[in-house]
Amino acid sequence: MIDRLLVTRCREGSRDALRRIYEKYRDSLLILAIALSHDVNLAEDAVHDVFVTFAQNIGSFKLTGSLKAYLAKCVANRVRDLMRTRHSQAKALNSERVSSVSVDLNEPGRLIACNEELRLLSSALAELPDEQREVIVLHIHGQMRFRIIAKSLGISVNTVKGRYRYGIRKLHSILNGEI
Amino acid sequence: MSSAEKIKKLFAKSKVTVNSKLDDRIVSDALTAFDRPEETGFILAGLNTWRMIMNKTMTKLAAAAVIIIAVFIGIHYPGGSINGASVAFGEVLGYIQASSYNFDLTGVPITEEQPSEAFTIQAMVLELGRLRLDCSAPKISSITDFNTGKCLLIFHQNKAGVLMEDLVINNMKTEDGIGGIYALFSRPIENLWNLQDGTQENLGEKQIDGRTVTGFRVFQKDPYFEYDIAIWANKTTGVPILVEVLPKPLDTSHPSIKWIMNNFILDVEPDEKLFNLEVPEGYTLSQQWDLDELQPDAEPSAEAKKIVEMLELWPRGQKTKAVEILLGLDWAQPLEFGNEPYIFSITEKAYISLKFEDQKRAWDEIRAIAETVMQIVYEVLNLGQAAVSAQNYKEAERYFEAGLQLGKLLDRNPESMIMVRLVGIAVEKKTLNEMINLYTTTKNQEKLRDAEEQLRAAEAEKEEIKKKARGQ
Repeated sequence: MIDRLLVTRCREGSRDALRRIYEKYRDSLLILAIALSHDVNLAEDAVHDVFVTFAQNIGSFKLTGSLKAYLAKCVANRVRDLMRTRHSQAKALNSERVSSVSVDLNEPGRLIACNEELRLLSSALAELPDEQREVIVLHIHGQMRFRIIAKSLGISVNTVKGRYRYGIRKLHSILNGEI
Repeated sequence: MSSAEKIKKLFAKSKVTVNSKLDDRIVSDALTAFDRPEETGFILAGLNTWRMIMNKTMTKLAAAAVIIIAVFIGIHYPGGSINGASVAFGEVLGYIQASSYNFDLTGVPITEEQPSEAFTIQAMVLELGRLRLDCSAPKISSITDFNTGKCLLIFHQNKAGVLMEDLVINNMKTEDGIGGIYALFSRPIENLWNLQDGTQENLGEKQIDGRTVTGFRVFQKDPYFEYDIAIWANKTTGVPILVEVLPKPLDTSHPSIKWIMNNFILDVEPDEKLFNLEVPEGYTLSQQWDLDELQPDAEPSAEAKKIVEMLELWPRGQKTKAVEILLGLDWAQPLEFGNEPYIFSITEKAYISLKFEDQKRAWDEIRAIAETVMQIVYEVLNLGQAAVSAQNYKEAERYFEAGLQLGKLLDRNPESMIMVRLVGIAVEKKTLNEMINLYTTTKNQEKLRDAEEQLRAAEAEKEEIKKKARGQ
């Protein structure tokens, strides 16, 4: 209900409401983006772009479900686009594996610091195929149902469940001994 | 603890600490965007137009090109000369002052994976700054007036138009006025030669269709593309013969399309009506209305209220009650619905005229109710089949008749949404087949003939609707 009020106020022109939406979901969306990309810079950009677009389109935005799930879906889409773009750029420059490049998540001077758990998780997730990683992150962290993920990705629910199952199994073996 | 639970726990413990500089950057940019609602309309119009196009199964690329070019011309049209250059390449061009001309614009997608088919769009330029592009498959036109920044997209198959106002986005203009390929279309044709900026490469002479042509090549750049432009003109008259433009997207994830302009016809006198920014007669202008503005809400008739109640009861699990209501309906009574449910009130034209967000709202509701109708129909057909098995033919006919009437209800208005009518016809066909089986069993020849005739009529109607939807 609070989200609906915030969106309504936002649509009425309240800058404060927009700021509150950002503050409310910032951390969750950043964790989502980092888990998906294992790249803090890309995560910053993705969350930035989603909020800017959200602010731009708020006049015609209608909240039909959960605002958190909506924003999570937008961030996931943006991360996918940015990863694809950077991968293409890397390909053009003949550099190898930029899309899966390992980034020091706690490099000094960064605007986002990740705790130990997130670093561990993000590193392990980076070893999964993109499609398994996306399903796991959206389901567990984005709290999206398999059916919604399937619809959003344009694939069957069974495929989503399969990716989740295989991904979890692999993730567990990667993290074995550390969790 | 299972693997999934351990991983969930790890997610739950994950934390980030954010420097206030990041907050400042994001909040500041978001608030700036928030304060510029005038840009939003364009962005939404663009996205939703895409949605309209991409929903089609027919050729998408050519259609997309008509829109993209129209939109980008708007974006890139800042006025002034291209790159400030005014060097005439050949004196022979001096006399060409064609203000209106036609040409063919062919797009050749450059893909690594597989060869893609080229597509050709007919282009017409009316004086300065008015451009019409026509794509034949699917039938889509765009009319752009650079003086006002307005662009009308016409979807002929849907008999619908979308007017995009304030097409020019101020912050996307470049300072030096480079318009790349897009500016080429909206300038006097001799300006093709004026692209020379001293860095051009002379391509010499060659033969095209038996004519000697001379050409040059230039490279240009704007914030989005690097352009490799080659221009060939008749050596004697200076009339442009062939222009090849390869815009290389700076964002390499974007596809690249090579554009070829040829078959130039100068000094034409095009029909000004073709550049009119009003939708043609009989067409509907899209994005105009809210759902609530469509029509005054009317008091539904008694039988209509019962149908609405049935549709509400079914999703709540009160299936027996819903079927009882259906069987008790008096179909001879007037059936007048209010605005809602939209499945009974919205016509195809009204749907097209809705703003996109309202279209989505209406579509979601209509789809959900159509699914409910189908479920109810399957239920009564199952009940009817059970009655047939029990040789209770009267009861079976009652069930089938109820299903048939429900189908006819969806298909009763020829102006209704195509999707709704097709669902109605599907229901009719399904129930009529059951009725044919029933009357074959009971050897009721008269009713059998009638059911078969209705089935043929339903099939013919379906084909007619599909043809109409395809624009045939």
